[in-house]
Amino acid sequence: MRAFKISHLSQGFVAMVGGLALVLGAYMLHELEGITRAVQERERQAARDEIRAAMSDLNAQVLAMGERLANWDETRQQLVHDVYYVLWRDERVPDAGVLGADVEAVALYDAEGGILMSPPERALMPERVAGIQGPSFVVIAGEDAAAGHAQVFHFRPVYIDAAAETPLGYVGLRLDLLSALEHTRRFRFADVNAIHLGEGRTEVAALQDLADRLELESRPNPLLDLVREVFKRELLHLLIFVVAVLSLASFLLHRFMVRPLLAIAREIDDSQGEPQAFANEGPMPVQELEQVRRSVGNYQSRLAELNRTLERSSRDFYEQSRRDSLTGAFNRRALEEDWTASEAKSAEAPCVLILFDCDHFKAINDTYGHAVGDAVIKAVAASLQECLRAGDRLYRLGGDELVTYLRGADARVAWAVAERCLEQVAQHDFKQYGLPEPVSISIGLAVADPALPDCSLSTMQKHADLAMYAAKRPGGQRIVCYDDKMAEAASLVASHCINAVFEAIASPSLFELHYQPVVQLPERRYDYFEALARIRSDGRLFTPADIFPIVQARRLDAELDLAIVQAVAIDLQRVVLEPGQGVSINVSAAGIVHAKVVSALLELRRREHGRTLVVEITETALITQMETASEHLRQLRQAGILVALDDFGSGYSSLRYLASMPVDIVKFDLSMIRLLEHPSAQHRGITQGIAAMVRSAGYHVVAEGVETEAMLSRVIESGFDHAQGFLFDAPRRPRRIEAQRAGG
Amino acid sequence: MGWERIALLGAALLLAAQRAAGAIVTLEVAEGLPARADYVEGDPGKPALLMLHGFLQTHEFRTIRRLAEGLRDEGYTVLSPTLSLGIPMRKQSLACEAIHTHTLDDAHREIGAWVSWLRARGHQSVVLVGHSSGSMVLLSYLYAHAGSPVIKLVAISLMEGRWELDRAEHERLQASLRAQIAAGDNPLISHDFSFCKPLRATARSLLSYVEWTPDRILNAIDRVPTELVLILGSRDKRLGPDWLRDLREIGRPLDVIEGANHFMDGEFEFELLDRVVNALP
Repeated sequence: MRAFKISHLSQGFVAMVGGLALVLGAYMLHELEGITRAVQERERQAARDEIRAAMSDLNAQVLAMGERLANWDETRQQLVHDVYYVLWRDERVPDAGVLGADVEAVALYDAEGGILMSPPERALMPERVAGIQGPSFVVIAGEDAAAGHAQVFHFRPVYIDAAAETPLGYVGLRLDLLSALEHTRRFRFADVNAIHLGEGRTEVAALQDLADRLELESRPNPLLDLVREVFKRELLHLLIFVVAVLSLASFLLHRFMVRPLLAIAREIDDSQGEPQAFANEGPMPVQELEQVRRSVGNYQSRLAELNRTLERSSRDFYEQSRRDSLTGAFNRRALEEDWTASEAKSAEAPCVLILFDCDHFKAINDTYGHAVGDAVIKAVAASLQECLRAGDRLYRLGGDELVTYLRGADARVAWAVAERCLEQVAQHDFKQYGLPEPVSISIGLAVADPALPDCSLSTMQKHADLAMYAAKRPGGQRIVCYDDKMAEAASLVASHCINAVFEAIASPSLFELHYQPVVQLPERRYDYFEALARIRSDGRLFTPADIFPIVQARRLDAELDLAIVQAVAIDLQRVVLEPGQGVSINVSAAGIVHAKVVSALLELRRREHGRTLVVEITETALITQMETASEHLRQLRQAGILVALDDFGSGYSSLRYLASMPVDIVKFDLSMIRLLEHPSAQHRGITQGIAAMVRSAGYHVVAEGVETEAMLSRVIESGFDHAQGFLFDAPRRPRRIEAQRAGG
Repeated sequence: MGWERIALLGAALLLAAQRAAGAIVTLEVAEGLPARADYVEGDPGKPALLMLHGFLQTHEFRTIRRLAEGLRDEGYTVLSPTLSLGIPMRKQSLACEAIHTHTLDDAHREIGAWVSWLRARGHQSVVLVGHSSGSMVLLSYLYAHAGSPVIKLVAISLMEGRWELDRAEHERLQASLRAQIAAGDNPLISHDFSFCKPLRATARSLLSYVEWTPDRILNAIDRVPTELVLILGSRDKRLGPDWLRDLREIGRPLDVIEGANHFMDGEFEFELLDRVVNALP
């Protein structure tokens, strides 16, 4: 629906009301004219009635005058002795008061009808009357009448007395009809002067008989005319008043409503969200509008405040969306946006991407819990941030991966920054989080070469990742800068290894499990073999260092465990190990709580009930899902499977959990075993004491990483009842299997 | 009271009223000049009374009418004519402003005609009763026409006839009138006469009345052979200052009603009636 302007509406309203007033005025005028016509018709009728009554009165008056004249003694006197007739007629009659003032002429006639004496010409009395038996009237109108006025002649016989049969004579008198009529009464309706009788001589018995023959006009009704005039004038005044009032109302509406509303709208438009702009105008002339303006102002203020809040929230959200809530570092999205922005700004400048990764963070997280892990990553991030240049931002990509890029820096500068970061993290006191050992990080650097066709962020990340993998390799530098060879090898290895891992998980027979014996001390008798995952693909053997990063990155731990159990079953089915030779299988934390893995182990136990079966788990499996893991381990132990706690003392294990762990064997980590070779007796005593304590608690203790005889001696001295290491045999494929595979 | 008695009483009252009101009789007192009179037949044994009104009046004038009614009640035959004054069947008092052409002789002829009318009706004794100038008219009539059947004149409120003019003025007026008449003119003259101020009359008419001066009236009273009784009111303002004294000096019977005015109005109408009845034979 089309919106109208108030001014148009008001003008339309004024026009409509004005039109209605005009129509009403026209209608009232029409009614007034109708009333006027009705009144005039009534007045004409009243005038005719009035004239009829006046004629009747005049008739009676004339009759009375005629009778008085006829019965007047002096009339008879003149009829019998007319010597002084003229004197009598001209003086005595008017003076005697016998006749009214309207009688203009009198004449006497003898018994034969002859006038006693010719009257003066102006008298207009006839010379002779005849045939008059009684009172009679003759009316002469038109041109025959005196001065054009209708004249009434009245004649009647004069008798000596009532008994007389022959008249003594006749009397006659004349009146001006209209004048006499006018004197009969005060006429309210009839206009006597406008009476027209027509032409000629008329004889009537009574004057009122003339009334119906008269052409009448009603007297102008000044009251009616005044009423009409007043009504029209007042109607005009009313119309002018209505138009004036409406115009005034329209003006006031425009002045006090439209203009203020437009002012409010203008203020709102001009304010552009700034409420203080309302102060530019004075107060509104209408309280309600002032209230509206204040309300709008308040609303606008609130709206502006809300906008600011929203902007802040938006900025906060934007910041939050770009920030990692745990460390306060920027996130991947921020990295991508900043990278794009800086690239657009200074694409020609050199740039180095530095990728940080916390070593063994997963183990820390698994061992000490996420709270500690979070504290560690926060501390690492804070330490790194302190070492960056001003303006350089630290981004957390996820987990323990942190990254920054140094725009305008070369590899040398970046290397220095990386070393400073490494040092800063190494010096941080992580004991405050409950960590007994320092936390280290690995750093991968990728230098962007503007000359290269692809210096995108993803490429740089990939390069830094490859460098990071290199840094993570045991015994290598903790800071590695990417080069193209690394990329070529890594890309080949990575893609090959990934395919191999997925294929092996899908087909466990593809695993080439290597077995390393665990010997019983001190006899050095092979007690059982630890199955270690290897995948041979296209002649290349992928080790756990290749396999586990892929598995962990893709959360394939349980699947890998299940595949390895199946692969062990296949090997045992193929009699890779001699009958009676036990086998130990590493199961991840995810695998021990996985029902399929447990079922597979139980099935293997059922099939290989004559062998020693050992499941090696880390503390993590017991700590993260203790109940499920414990239940599964209980089931396994009930089935005759031994449970070994692997990597005990690798830096993250805790003795306080050992008592509650459903394990049979504790495998001391290489780091613990190497303490036995430490010059310090204190260091050696720790391992020895723990081993003695664990053994005394009823656990079998296994020493890992025994590579020399001297170390073996120390191990035996320390009371270990089993040992494992290159001294006895490296992990390898048993010959029998190799022979079978070679044979076909 | 029974219906019969009421009916009889009503009939008697109607008859008495008719008798009191009398009947209008007409008489052509001159050629072509009929005149009217009220006439009631009374006791035949009593003289008929001819009662004449004052100047320009009719027999309907109240003093004459009431006195006539009283005398009728007394059983007298009463004839109350209206002098025509030259007007046929005159019924109204004639205005002073009217054209007066009548003379005293005309009045004498009409009185004579009515006396004859009475005689013709068998009334051998007629008593003339006049009021005001009617008394002077009857006196002058008797002075000129003494003899049967008039046996007595009762003159009520007889005026001196001087008409408020002194003697010299009166004589100059008469001389003037006579001179005009002698010259063959009979003009209309407006002159004060009696209560008319003025009276418009012909010279002959006016002269016929003004000739009857107080002296002539006193002489006529003194000389008239017929029995005459004068009845006057002691408070009659129209008589003249010495008129009552002059009348007494004549020695004719004079009955003065103390307190009565010229018209014997009010309570004096009964006194007048009694005096007139007493004066009648």
